Amino acid sequence: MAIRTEAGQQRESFLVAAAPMLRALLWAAIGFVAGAWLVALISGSAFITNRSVTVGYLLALIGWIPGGGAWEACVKPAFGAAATWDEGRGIARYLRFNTDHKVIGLQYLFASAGTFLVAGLFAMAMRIELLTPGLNLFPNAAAYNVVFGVHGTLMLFAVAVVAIIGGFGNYFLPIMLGARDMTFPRLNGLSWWFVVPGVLAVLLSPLIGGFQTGWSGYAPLSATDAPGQVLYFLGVFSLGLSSLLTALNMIATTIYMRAPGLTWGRLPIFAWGMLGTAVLNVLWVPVVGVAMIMGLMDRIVPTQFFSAQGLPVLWQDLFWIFGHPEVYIIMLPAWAIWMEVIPVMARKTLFGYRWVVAGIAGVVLLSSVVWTHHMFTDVSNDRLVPFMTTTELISIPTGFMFLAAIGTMWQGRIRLNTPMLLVLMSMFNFLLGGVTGVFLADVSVDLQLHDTYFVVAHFHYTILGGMVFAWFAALYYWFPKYTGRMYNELWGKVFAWVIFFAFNLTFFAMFLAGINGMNRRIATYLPYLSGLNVWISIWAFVLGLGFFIPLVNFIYCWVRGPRAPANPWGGKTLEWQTSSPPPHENFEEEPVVKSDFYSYGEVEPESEMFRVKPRVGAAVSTAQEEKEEDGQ
Amino acid sequence: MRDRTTRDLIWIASLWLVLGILGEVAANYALNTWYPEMFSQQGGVTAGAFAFLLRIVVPGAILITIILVYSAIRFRVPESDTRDSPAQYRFGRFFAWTWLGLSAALNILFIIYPGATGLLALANYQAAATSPLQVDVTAMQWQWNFSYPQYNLMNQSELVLPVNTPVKFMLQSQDVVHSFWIPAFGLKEDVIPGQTRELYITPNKMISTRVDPLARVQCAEICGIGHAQMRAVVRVVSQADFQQWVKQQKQPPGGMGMIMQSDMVSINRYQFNRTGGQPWQ
Ligand code: HEM
Ligand SMILES: [Cu+2]
Ligand SMILES: [Cu+2]
Repeated sequence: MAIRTEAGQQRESFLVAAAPMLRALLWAAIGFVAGAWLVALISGSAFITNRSVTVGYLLALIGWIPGGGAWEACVKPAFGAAATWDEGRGIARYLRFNTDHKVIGLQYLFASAGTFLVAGLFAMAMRIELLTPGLNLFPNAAAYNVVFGVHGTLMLFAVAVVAIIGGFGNYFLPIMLGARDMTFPRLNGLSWWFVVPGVLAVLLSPLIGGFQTGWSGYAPLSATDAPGQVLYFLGVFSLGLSSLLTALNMIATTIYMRAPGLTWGRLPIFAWGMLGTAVLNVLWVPVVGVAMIMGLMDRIVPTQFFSAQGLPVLWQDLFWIFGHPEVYIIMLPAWAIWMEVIPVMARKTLFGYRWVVAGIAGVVLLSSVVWTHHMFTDVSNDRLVPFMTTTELISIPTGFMFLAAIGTMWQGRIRLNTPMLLVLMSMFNFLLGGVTGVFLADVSVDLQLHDTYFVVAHFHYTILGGMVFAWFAALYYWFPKYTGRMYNELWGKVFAWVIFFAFNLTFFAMFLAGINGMNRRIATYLPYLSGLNVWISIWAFVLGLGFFIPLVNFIYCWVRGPRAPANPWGGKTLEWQTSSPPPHENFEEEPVVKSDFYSYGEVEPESEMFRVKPRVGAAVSTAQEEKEEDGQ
Repeated sequence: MRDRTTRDLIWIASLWLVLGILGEVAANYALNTWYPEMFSQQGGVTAGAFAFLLRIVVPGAILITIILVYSAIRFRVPESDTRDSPAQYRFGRFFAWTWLGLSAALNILFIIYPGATGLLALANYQAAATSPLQVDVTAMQWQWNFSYPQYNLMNQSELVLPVNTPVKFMLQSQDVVHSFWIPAFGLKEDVIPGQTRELYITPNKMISTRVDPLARVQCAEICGIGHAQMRAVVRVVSQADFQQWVKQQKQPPGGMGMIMQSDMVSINRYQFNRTGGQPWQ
């Protein structure tokens, strides 16, 4: 609450509060300059080269992470010194090394929200450029290429796979499991400190020429362009490392830290979603990490892994073996949020809990064996039919999410507040993203549409329309919990409708552009496409502006909003059974779980079709629930 | 309760009937006006697959959207109303298994048709091309180069093809990965350094870049600063015109380079008009 004091004192206390973060920045800067300078000196080359940037970045990391407090909190104790680290109070907690999962969750949330806004501005710049067939904003096409590369890389590696998992996963998984914290709090504290350098590396790469390849970093182009490409490899590696550490923690926490009575059969869907993504991360992030190192080696040694003398397509395999599971690393948490919000807002028992869990498991399995659908135009014919088959099949477990959502809403008592509205919109957008995926899974159609704006529309429908909408649903749904205050409902709804229409008007038109021969990653296009592109750009600007509505709503209400009760929605999962915001270590006393979290009223285990047992004004009957526990 | 359920289902079914038909009409309209005309046999396959999938998934997506919107409106209560729903069940076997059955059936259908059959059709066109015209394509940052070894004609910057003749493209790259795409022919293939890859296309209608900008060679894989401009002019002409063109090209150069240069400029500057016109133009 240091913020609320008078102005003069406030500045002083902020500097003190931010001291560790400032020390980290200073050490990182010293590390970078020292590393780069040393390499330049030894090799007698320029200050900025592939090698000097690599060594500079590594030393910057070595300065940054201990600088934030890991030195006192982790390194010194490891050598036998007493742990002296003070984790701070108030705002200071967020600006230093901290091991509290709720603090870390919010650190992730701020980092990904900030990155989302910056990468969103990059998208606006692209849409200005695409207002006209020729160049208008950027001095040359290379600058545009850098901008979509930074936009895509940040949006995927620092927003899509971080916002819900790093943010809400860290914050809510332990609470929903009835745990006091994650299994490895210090590892958890460390994981966030890899995000910031990763983001900064990618964001600042344009200063040294950026990278031309886009987020997928195809070789051998990646071996030839500016030194900025080195920062792509290193930045993505750092962001991946952060995901990996978080995933290890989540798996361990889910297995070992569940409250008494929280059997696997009662595990909240959000926890299943986190577990599924964590498994995918643990399996596949190492692969992309190795690929990044090999790509880097091709530049700094130089090796020939992916050059024409090596295997250019091997890069694509290594990249997409991770890159496709990544798509589901993005979507599983979003689906989990659908399943958390819908039963609460519809006051209705979750339909087909086991099918949802089976769907998550099916997606985890199948998503690991579909990656070649990104490479239909690159591979031999032998690989086409198997991967077309697996790709089509993944729509079956995915469909279980819709099955459960529809079954739950059916004849419920739906409160269409902002979170619920955004969940419904996320479902609609993801539906369109999914059905257009059916086209791209079909090899012959993909041979035409691959690398066109059809694909750009498709993945924005799934990621922006599906995941980002669900992320915002979660931001509203849990706002009372993580801030202790209530957001403004009217502005929440205005926001939802504005971005829903602007999003669809923007991205649906991209399908048409793609069908009409507009390939992706181009700063200039033929004039016959200009009408469509003007349309797309204008709605994109509306969409971009729309995201400032929640920014204001959240900031204002975080400070001024009315106090929120512990359980404003009447949710049954454990985070609603503690105060808003939860106390340190989450619960006053250890919770004991006596029933599942998704049963409302008097539940029948089975309903043939939609047959229901008439019952008026049902109130929660705990005795009944206990009898029915695990009764499905 | 049962009555209510029946009424809800009847509503949804009737809405689906009406909107589903409208959706099919819209899909047909979209296919006719927005899906570009194809100028090769292979393009017929990919366009046919697209059309088939569209006709099936449109009513499917409409049904799910109707259910979502109907539920949101019909089962809505005021936000202050926090009572539990009277209808409570954990599962509905009929609904779930029907859902699973339908989605599995659709999957099997799509994998076989147009999935496997589409690939088979492409393979058959290739097998039927016993004596194709060979065109060696060289991709480099950032231009295309075409050679006709059977005619001993090298290094053309314009791609001229005779109509109704199967063409075997031999694709090579001198530097990075590119993608050889002629939108009006309906398919593309990546050009990978260190490999020679084959692509069979049979143009079946005469067309040129001047008439339809989709009839252009366009690099479709990011390859650096010149990627967007990495295009080439395409002309599909009659057999006689093709022979004529070959003869002309073989004569000692008389400003030919200049003409091609200006063609390249025109492809970037010229205000192309699509045949049939576009609704957004
Ligand atoms: C404000 C909304 C957004 C707009 C207007 C927008 C627009 C664009 C545009 C114009 C491109 C270039 C497409 C191309 O030529 O390939 C692009 C690429 C991309 N966008 Fe967005 N975008 C938005 C939000 C997002 C979000 C939220 C995500 C993910 C979380 C995202 C992920 C990507 C990715 C991965 C690429 C590919 C970059 C590449 O080709 O390497 N975008 N976006
Ligand atoms: Cu994929
Ligand atoms: Cu290219």
